[in-house]
Amino acid sequence: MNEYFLGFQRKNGSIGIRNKLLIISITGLTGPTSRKISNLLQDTLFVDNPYGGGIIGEDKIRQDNAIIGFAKNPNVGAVLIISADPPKGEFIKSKLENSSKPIELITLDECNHDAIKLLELGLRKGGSLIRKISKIKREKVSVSKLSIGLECGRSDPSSGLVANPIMGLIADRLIDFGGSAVIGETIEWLGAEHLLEKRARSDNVKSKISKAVEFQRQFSEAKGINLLGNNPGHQNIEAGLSTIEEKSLGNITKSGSKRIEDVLQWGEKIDKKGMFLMHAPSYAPESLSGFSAAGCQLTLFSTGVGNSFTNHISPSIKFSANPETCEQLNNQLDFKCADVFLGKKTFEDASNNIWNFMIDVCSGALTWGEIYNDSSEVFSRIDRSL
Amino acid sequence: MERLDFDAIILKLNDNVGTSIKSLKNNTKIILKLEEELTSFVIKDDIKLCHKFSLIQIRRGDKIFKYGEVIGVATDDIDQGNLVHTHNIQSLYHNDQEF
Repeated sequence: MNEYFLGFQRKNGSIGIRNKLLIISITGLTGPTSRKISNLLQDTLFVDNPYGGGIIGEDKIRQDNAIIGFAKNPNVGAVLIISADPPKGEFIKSKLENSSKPIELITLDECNHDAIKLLELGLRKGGSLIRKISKIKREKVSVSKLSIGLECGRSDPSSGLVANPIMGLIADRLIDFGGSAVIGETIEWLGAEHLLEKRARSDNVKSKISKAVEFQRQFSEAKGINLLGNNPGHQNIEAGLSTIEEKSLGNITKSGSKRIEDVLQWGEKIDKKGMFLMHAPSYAPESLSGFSAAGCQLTLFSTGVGNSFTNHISPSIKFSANPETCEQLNNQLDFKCADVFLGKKTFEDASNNIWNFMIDVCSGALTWGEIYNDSSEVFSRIDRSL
Repeated sequence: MERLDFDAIILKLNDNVGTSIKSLKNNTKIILKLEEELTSFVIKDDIKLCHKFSLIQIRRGDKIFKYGEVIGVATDDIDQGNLVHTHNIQSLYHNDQEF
């Protein structure tokens, strides 16, 4: 099995599978202009934080960490920070200095609050950054440098029976090669948490797993909702999933069989090897963005009935085992596993084929999500704004 | 060697539901797969792709097993071969449990 790909070596030792300029608008006021700057330049990624001064407390820490996490992702070669809050811009910039990437900060204030001047400044600074990083060449590197996020969305029973176990085989193999992987979506551990707890590396990690699940369960109970109709959602139910337990048991198969090293908070950096859990919301954009902020260079994303959303900073490889979905979504599914579902091919065959495709994507082959730009990164909130 | 076709799968020996891998018609004989073993079974409902059906007679209040694990509880008696879904099973985490 191929364990090498061509990646971008960063000065801090991390490896990017893409080499892009991240244009990150860190205040809501600068979002529209920043988007224009990104649209007018080549090879950019765009992240838009729609919030600003009203964010306080734990939410503020979470948001700042996510901005820093997105910017530090190894797929980002350089960063253009755009802010309507100069001290916040300086704070973010200072936190990125140890990443040794080219970084520029521009503010609406230095343009006398004139968005058109900001547009021009952004085009000039952003253009220079792209020119600088475009000289970096791909080099042969090991998959041990990869962290991958594992996601499932708009699931059906084919996800839990076939697509997610295939993902689990890939995660196991990556961990054998020295890489790391993460699953999130805490509410989808409910009813399967005893199986995750058995794999915890210590009693402390075991207790973190049970506390995270109990927190989400109590949260839904306190808000007076029944999970039915919310999770499993209407599409899940229509496709054949009946309860959260059934969905969870299928969900956790994507985590493979390795020891669980730790439970991370949403967007928390993965700085060790092995299998991790992320205590995080389950809706795809929020869940996936936690993986990009944590430093994952790539995500694997299984779907039952189809789900067009993908990560923006880290490419998502989309696949399904549902025969009807595989027939219909030619320009969304990077890989089709219906033949495994129908018993015509083995799980091992499919996991080898997806592994090879993953190596290609790490070396530069584009996913459908990238080709159609069906991608975004979002910020997770836990509280109110002032 | 020709690979034998099957219509639905059972994941673990102690499961009391199977899952269809094709759309199945009421009152038809189907082939069930449990690991490498194939058995014949009669379906008593129209079962859409990926939906579940009872392998045995299930009583109201019985636990439902898939993956060898509990996925919920029966809210009604379920005859062998009938569709098992949200109309006759419920999560153990459902508020205002009837059971």
